[in-house]
Amino acid sequence: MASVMNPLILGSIYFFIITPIALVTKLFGRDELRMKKMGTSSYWVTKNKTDKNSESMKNQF
Amino acid sequence: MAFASYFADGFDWLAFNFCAGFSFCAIYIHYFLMNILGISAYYHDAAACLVVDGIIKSAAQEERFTKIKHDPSFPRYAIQFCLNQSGLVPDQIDYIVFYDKPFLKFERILETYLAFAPKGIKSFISSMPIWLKDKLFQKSILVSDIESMWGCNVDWIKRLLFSEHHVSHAASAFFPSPFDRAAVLTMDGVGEWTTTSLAVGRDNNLTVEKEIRFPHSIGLLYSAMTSYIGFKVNSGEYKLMGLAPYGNPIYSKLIKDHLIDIKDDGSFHLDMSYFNYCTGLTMINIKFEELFGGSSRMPESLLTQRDMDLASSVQEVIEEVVLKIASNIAKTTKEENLCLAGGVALNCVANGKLVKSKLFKNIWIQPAAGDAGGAIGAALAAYHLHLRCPRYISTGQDGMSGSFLGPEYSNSEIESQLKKLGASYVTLSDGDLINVAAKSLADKKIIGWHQGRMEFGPRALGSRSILADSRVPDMQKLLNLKIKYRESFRPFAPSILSSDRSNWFELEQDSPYMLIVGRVRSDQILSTHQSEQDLFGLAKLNVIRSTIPAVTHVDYSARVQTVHKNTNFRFSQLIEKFKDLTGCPLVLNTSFNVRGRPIVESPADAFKCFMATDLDCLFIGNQYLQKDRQNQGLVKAFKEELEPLDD
Repeated sequence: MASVMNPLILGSIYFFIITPIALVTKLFGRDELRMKKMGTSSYWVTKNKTDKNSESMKNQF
Repeated sequence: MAFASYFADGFDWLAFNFCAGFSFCAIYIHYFLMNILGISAYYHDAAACLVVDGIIKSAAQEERFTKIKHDPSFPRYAIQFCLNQSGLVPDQIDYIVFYDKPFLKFERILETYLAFAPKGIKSFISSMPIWLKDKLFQKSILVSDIESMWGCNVDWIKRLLFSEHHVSHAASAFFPSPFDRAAVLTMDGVGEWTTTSLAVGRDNNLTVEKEIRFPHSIGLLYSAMTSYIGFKVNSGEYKLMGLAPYGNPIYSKLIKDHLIDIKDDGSFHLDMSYFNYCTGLTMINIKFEELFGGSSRMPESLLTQRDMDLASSVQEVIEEVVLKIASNIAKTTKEENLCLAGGVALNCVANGKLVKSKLFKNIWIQPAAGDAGGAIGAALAAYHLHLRCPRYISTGQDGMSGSFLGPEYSNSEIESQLKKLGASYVTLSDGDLINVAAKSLADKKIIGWHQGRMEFGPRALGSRSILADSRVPDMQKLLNLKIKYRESFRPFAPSILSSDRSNWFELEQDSPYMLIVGRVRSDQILSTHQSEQDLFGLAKLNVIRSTIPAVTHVDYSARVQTVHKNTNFRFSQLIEKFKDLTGCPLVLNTSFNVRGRPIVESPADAFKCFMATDLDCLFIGNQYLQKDRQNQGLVKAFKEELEPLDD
């Protein structure tokens, strides 16, 4: 049963939740993976220094 | 500097603790006995490492105990070994540190689907249940694995820490290095988000300055080409590097025009329309295949010149990226020292170019540069970055102890294991052992060498090694045929006394971990006939190009290991003796295993491998075993147990 239900549920989540969000955010120019080539001279991204504090190792994020 | 800060920090602690009314003894125990266990697991090549007071005491990969190559499962045997080695009980472990951050990984996976939807539904349905279970519940999986091993007496959740994947790599590259300050470059397939990072290390501090993020990854570009050429991703990259010298880099321009855009500072961007690894179950797609004018090579089918040219091309592109990044780092950080880790740092050809470029005065590479080394980095990151504890640096020496961090066996343990298996052996004195082994090598025998503590990382460095005389013209063929059971296009590696390095190889610095390629010196190179120069493909490997043909590649390069007395005494003694007998200060060194199997760990493993292959003799501790003195009835069972697998 689970082997039929899981794909159905996951497929629905993908089509009815993830895909619309993806299309809308893309429409607004969101490009989290930086797939579009940038006109800049470097692809380095400066690392966010706020997560540098030593307590951050307690977290899974 | 580090020494001074060590005392300053220590003094603060003293003052604080005295004020708080603790005894000096309590301070001593608290401050000086911090046991941290680093774990790398659940993805590829699981490992554990024990760091006591900032010193790496032991480390081992799980595959060596379970006999499953690159075993990703929770490293219970490696952990148990680490504790036993230091005589610790579980309760004495202050922190357990996991080598990456599961939630960040999960976020990256979700973001990737968001970027590609509606594409990727198939992989979403098949992978998401696993991702959900593994990543969102990683902490409980970890804790339940720990509890199944050690019981529930301790609240392990409170002692659990998580280090970012590339911070683990960077920490494994900088903290054990012999430098008090350095630029640290990590490059691999992907961690959570990061694929390439630059950090700057100073004493006990390490700050990641900038990064390149998924899906843009030179590790994954290399893996993509590895899969296109028909090798296994995550292990075949090494073959690709070995294949590259046979080809010409005629596809480099095509790769740079279409697949990767490289900026002057070495940063890069991949055109994802050629790759399938974001949402698919394969590395590349039809567009990639069309670009290079043909479908992927079937595994085990004949290698063509085109495959070799492709390997050569992607290798050249990777080298360009590495050199440009290094050059930019040298300029921007003005550091004299560079530390490297991450899977790409195992590319010893690129490392060789980096050393040759002289962009940095000194380069140090973590020997376990792949994910197994993340266990070391995670533990050290917790000690120095989370607990802010100071760092020791001994001048001119790194903290890896030659990478000899694994299990070792006393002569009585060795004898008891050998007796149990029905082995026939004699016990030699230390001096005789060296004499007999060196003489065997000089007599063109192939020997098994199982001595001291096992190496941590992918290379055998003279503790779990098969050794032979590199000057013998057909030794390479013989080893492949009789021991390794493979047709190889890679020559073997030479282990040379560090004092003789510059007499034999063009190599600017020592390479204790076999991670830097150097050219065989011209006075050791022999001229070849025109007919030999016209040979094609793998036939080129059989040409005698130098006085040490079994370790000389077709481009005259060699993957050098320099052997040092202070970390590898018995092995250096053996090579010294071999030099006395032959005038040659180097031996051929290859890992002690059968194709597709992990390197041997125990004396019993070594004996089984010895019996299953055509090794002539075996030296385990002070025990000497000759093949013709063994009970041949044992051969069949061990051959069946150690049947070669695809690697």
